[in-house]
Amino acid sequence: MKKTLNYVLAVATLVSGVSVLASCGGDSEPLAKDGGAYPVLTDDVIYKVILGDFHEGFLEARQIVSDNERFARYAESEADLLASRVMLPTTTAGGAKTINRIAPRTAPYAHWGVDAERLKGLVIANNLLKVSERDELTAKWTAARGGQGTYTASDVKTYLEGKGYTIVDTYKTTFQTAPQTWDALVTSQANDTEFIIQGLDGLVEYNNLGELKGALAVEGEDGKPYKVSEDGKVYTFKIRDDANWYKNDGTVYGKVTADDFVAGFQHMLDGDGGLDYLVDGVVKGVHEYLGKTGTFDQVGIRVNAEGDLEIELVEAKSYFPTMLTYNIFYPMSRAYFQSEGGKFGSEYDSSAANYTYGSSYEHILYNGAFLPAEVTPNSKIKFEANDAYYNKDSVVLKAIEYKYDNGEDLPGLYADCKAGDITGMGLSSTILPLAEQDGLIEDGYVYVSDTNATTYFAGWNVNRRTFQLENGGVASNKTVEAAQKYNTAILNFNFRAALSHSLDKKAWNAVSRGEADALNNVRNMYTMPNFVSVDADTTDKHGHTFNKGTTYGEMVQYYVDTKYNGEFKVQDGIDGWYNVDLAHSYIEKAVAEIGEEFFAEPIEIDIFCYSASTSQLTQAQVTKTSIENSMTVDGKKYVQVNIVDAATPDDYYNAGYYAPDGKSGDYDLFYGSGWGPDYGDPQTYLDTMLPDYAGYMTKVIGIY
Amino acid sequence: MNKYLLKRLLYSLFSIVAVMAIIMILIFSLKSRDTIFANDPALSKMDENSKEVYKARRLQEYGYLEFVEYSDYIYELESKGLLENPELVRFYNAIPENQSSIKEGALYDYNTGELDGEGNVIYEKHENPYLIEFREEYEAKGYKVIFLNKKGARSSSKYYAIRDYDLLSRLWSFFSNMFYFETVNDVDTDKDIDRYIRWEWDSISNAPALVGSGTTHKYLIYFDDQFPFIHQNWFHINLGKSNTGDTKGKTIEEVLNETQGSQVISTNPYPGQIDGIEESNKSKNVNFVLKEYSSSKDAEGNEILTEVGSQNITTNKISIQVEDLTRQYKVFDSEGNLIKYKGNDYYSPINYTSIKGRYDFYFTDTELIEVVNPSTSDFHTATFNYGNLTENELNNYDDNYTKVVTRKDGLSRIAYSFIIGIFATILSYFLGVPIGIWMARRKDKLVDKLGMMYIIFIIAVPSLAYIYIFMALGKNIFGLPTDFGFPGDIKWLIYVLPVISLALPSVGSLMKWTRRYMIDQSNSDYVKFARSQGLSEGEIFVKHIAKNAAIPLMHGIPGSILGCLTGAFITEKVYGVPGTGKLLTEAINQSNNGTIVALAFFYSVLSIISLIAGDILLTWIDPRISFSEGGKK
Repeated sequence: MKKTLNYVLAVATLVSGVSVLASCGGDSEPLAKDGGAYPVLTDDVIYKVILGDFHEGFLEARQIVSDNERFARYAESEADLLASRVMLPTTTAGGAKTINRIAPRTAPYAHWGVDAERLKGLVIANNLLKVSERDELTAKWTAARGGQGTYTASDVKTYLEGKGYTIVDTYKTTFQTAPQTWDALVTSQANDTEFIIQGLDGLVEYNNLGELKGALAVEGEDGKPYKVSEDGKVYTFKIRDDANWYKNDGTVYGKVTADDFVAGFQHMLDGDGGLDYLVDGVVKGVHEYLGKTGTFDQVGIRVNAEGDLEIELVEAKSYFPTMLTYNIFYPMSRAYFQSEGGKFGSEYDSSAANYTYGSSYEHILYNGAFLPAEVTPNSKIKFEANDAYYNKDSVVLKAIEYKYDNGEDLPGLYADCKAGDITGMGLSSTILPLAEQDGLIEDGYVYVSDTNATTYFAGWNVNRRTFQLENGGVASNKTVEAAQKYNTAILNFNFRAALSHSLDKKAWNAVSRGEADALNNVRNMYTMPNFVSVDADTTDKHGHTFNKGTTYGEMVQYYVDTKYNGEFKVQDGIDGWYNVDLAHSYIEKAVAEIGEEFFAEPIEIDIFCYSASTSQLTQAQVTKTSIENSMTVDGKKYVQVNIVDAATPDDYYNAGYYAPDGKSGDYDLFYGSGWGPDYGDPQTYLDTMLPDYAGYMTKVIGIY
Repeated sequence: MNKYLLKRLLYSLFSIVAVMAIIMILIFSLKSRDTIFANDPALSKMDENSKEVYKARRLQEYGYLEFVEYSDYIYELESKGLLENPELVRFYNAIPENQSSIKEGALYDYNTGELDGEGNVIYEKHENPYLIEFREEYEAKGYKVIFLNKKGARSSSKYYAIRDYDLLSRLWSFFSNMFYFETVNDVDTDKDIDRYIRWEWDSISNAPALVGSGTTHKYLIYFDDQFPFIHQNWFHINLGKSNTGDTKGKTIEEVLNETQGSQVISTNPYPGQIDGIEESNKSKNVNFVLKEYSSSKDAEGNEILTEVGSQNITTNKISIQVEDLTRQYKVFDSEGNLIKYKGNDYYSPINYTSIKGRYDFYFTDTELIEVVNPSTSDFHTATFNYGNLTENELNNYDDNYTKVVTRKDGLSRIAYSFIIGIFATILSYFLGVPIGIWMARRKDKLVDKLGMMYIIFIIAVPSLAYIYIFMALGKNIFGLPTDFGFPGDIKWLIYVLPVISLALPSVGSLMKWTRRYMIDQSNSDYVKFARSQGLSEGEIFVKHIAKNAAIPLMHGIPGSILGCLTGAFITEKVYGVPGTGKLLTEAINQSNNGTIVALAFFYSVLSIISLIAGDILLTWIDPRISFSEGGKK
C-alpha cells in the first residue's frame, strides 16, 4: 500500500513540476554546465521514491543470521531492485569461443578472491578436448557438488585416459607483462596475483568443487579450517607446523608462523595497495589504524596464547571466511621483510633506497606449490613444482610455462596451440575462420568458456546535473527545456520501465562480440545467477518454500514472476529484458500518467562515446537505433537518443567512469560500469546500491 | 685540437641538459596524468576521498609531485620530539569531519580510552593547534593544502598537501647524485658493525677481492670465472628508479645490467661454511658410518624410519645424489655411537632446501662438520641484511651480508641487445661495403641492378613485414629457432635470425652509400688523372677511390657500435629477445617516467659520444682533416 502511495506522491510532484515548466514557455536557450536553474529534487527524495522498497527490505534481510533465509530475502530485494528499472544488467566477462586441453573444473571454483587462478590442480590432456567430453566431465562435477560421486584429479585422469588421452604435466600459456611487484600484499592487479599465487598460499583456499578448505590453516574436526566464537566475531586459525618459507631457489628460510599473518596484515594496511577497503570496517581497529587514530595493537589480528591466529571483527559477518581467499590476508615473513629494508607503521617507506621487498622474484619468499625457475620479461616465465611443498597431494602439474606473446601474431599462436605448445586459447574473430577451416568447429572442439561473476550494467541517470565537463568536453546539445523534460520523465516508473525493455542487448553486444557469440555473455540480473544457492529447504517470509539446491537466480526469478508478473527473465545467456510490446504498454501508461502534451516532442536521451573508437561509436549507434525504434508507437516517436562525442579518452572516462559522484555524471544513459563480488554473499552486490554515499554504484544512476 | 674538443664537449653537455629539460617538460607537464589510472582496478572500489589520496600517492611514486599527508606531518613532529603533548599523538592525528570545524583555539573531543562508572568512554576537550599549523607551514612552502570533507558513511575526511616539482629541482636532483662510489657509511642501521674497505682474500673464488663492510655490497671488486672475469659493485651511475611495469622499484642501472634467464644450480659452499671445510680438509683419520633412512608415517601418524643404505666413510668429503628430499642421514662412529650434526640427530635435505641434486658432506676426524646443499646463490652479489638473521643464515654466513642474487644462465638486457647489434653491424659492413664496391665497379650491369632491387625492396617494404618473411623462411626451411625463451639445444642458433633481420636494412643502406661514394669519386679529376697515367682500373679502385669513399662511411662506425646498446624494438619484440629495445616504448606506454628520463639521458649521451668519436676517427684515418681552427683564419 505504501508503495502505491509513494508512486502517487512522486507522480503528483512530477505532474505539477511539468506544468510549472510548461508555463515557462518553450525557449531554446543553450544549456549551462549545470543545466540551468530549475527545481531539483534531492538525492534522498529520489532514492526513496525509486529504491525505497528495495532499501527497506534489504536492510531487514541483512539482519537475518541464517544464510539460507537471508539469501531468500536478498533474492526478493534484488527482484525489487531490478523491477525499479533504474539499472539494466547487460553483460559479463567470459563466454568466448575457446579450444583447450584443460579438463573443465579442475582449477579452484571461486568467483571472488584470487583462488580461481591457482593452477596446481589442473588436469591437462595431450590433445584438445571435445565439447561432448567436457559436458560429460562437467556433469560429473555437478553431480559431485550435489553429493553424488566424486570429482578429483584422479577421477578426471581416469576418465581422460579411458578416452585415449595421456596426461600432460606442464601447463603452457602466454604472457605479455611480467608482474609489477611480487609482494602479494600491496597489489590489486590480476596481472600480478595470477603469477604470485602459484607460489604463495593463504589461510584457506577453494577446491575445485567450490568448498572452502584449509591451506596454511589446519582443518578442525568439523572440517572447517577455522573456529568461530559464540558471538560470531572472533575467528581462530590453527596454523600448520610443517609449512616452510622458501627462497626462489628452494632454500629453506624458516617456518610459516601465525605471526607471519599479523605481519602481512600490517604491511597490507601500510602499503596502500588498493584492497584495504575490503577490511576497512570489517576487521576491528582497521578503520582507526588507517586513519592514524589507532595503533596496530588495537587492530583485531593477533597471535593468541596458544600460538594460533585470531581475527576479531567489528560485527559478526558469516561471509567473512570467504574473504580470506584474497591476497590481502596472505602471510609475510616478518624477518625476511625486515631484511629487505621493510618497516612497519609510520616508518614504512617503499621509496627508501634499501627497500627491495617484492621488487623481483628474487626478493620475496614462497610457501606454495611452485617456485619460479625463470622470470625474464619479454621472453619467458617458468614455475616448477616445489618438491618440498607441504600439500603435495594437491599438485598435479610439474611446471607452468609462460611464453611471451607480442600480441601481433595470432595465427602463429594458433599454430602453437594446435601443436600443443600452448595448452589452450580463446578464438577471436581473426582466428575463428582458421579453426573453421581446420574443422575444429565441425568436429566439436570449440566450446564456450565460462562466464564470470562481474556484472556490467547500464544505468539511467535519474538526477542529472552535469551537462558538460569542466574543460567543456562531452557537451550536451539539449536545450534547457529538453534537459528538464528528461529529468522529469525519467522519474516516472512507467517511462523508465518502457526504456528498460527497449534495448536489444543482443544487437548491442554483437558489436564487440560478433553475431554468433552475442548472447553468450549476456546477463540479466545484478548478482551472478548461480552465485550462491540454499543448502536446505528454505521457507521465505511469504511462506513459499525453496527446495534445497535452488540457486539465487532461480529465487530472484520466482520473485520477479510472483511480484512483477514475470516481466523479465534473469538467467544468463538470453536477452531477458528486451520486449518491444512490453515497452509499448509502459509508454502508454506513462502517457496516461504524465499527459499527451508532455510527449509532444520526443524526450532526448544523451549517451556518449569516444568516437575515435569504432566499436564504441557503433555500439552507441546500435543503442540509438534500438531504443528509438522500440520507443516509437504507431509512428509517434517518444524518445530521441543523442550521441555525444567524447573527443579524448580522458573526456570519455571523466564523463562516466571517473565521475566522482552522482551529480558529476555527464549522461542520461551510461553502460560502462560493472561490479565484481568481494566475497561469497549477494550482499557484496546489493550493498553497492545503498543510499547516502554508502553504495559504490548509486553514482551510476546519478545520485549520491 | 684540444681546444676544439673542449668546446665540443661543452656544447655536448649543454645540449644534454637542454634535452633533459625538454623531456622533463614533455612528460611531467604536457602528458596527461590520468592515463596512469586508466587500468587501475584499485580505483573502482574506493570511496572518493580515498581515491584522491590514492591518486596523489601514486602521482608521487611516478615523480609528478610531492605529497604530504597530515599524519606524516604529525609523525615527523613526533619523531623529532616537537609535539607539545607526545601522549596525545593519536588525538592530534584525528581530523574533523569537515573543514569548517578547523578553527584556531577550537576544542575537540579526545577519546581517553578510559571508561567511566557506567561503561561509557570518557572524552576530554583538547585543542589541536597542528591542524592549523600544518596548513600554514605547507602553504608557506608553496604547497596546495587540500581538505576533503567526510562524505557519507563509508568515507572519512582527508587532509593533505601537494606540490608539483619544478623543472630546476628535477634537473638538479637528476644530475647531482649521478656518479656514486659506495662508502662505509652507506648502511644505515642500529646494528654494531665494522666499517671498512680493504683488500681481502676471497675464498669463494680463491682470489683477492676488495671487500667492504658498511657498504651496500660486500664485494666491491672481485674476480670469478664469468666473463669479463673482473667485476665491480663499487661505482654506480645513478639514473633513478623505474616507477612501474615489470621493472618497478629497480634502479635503471639494475634494469640494464641484471642477468636474466633460468637459475643455475650448483653445490657451492656458503661463506659461513668455508672455515669448516678448510678444517675438514686437514682431516686424516676419518672413520664413520653414514646411514640413510626413508621416513614414513604409520596409521597413528608416528614416524617410522627404515634404513635404506649405509656406507663407510674414510675420506673427509663425500657427495650424495639426493632424489628424495625426505630422506634422513645419520652418522655413527665405529662403535656405533650417534654423531650429531650441528646439534641435530640427523641431516634431512628437506629442512634446508627443496632442490634435488648433489649434496656434499664434509667430515673432520670427530664429526660431520658441514653439509653443503645445492643452491643457486651467487655469493659475490651479497648485500646488507637489515633484519635479524635467521637460524639458517647464522649457520651459512659470517656476517650481515646475506642478501644474495640468483646465479642465472642468461645475459643482461644490454648484453643481449649489444651482442645481436654488434654481430648485425659486423655482418652489414662485411656484406654492404664489398657489395657496394662491386656494384659501383659493375655500374648498370646485372650485379648493380640486382643490388638496386634489393635496396629498393628493403626501403619500400615495412620492416615488420620482411622480418616476419625472413622469420618464416628461417623457421620453415632451415628449422632455426625463433623464440628466445625456447632456444633449443644449440644455444647460439637462436641469434642467427635476429642478427640477419637486423642486418638486412643496414646492408641495404651501406650498399647504397658505398656505391654512391664510389661512383662520385670515380668521376673526380684525380681518377681521370690516374687513368691517364695508365694505372689499372683495379689499382685505381682499391688504392684511390675506395680509400676516399671509405672516409664518410667510417664516420658512422662508432654510431653503429654504440647504437647497438639501445636495442632494436621490432626485432626484439618479434623474437622475444629480453633486450633493451622495448624499454623506452614500454616506459612511454606505462608512464614510467623515471625510466623515460633515464633512457633519454643514456641515449643522448650515446649519440653525442658517437658523433665525437666519429670525428676523431676521421682525423685519424684522413690526415687532411684536422680539428685545429687554423684553416678559418
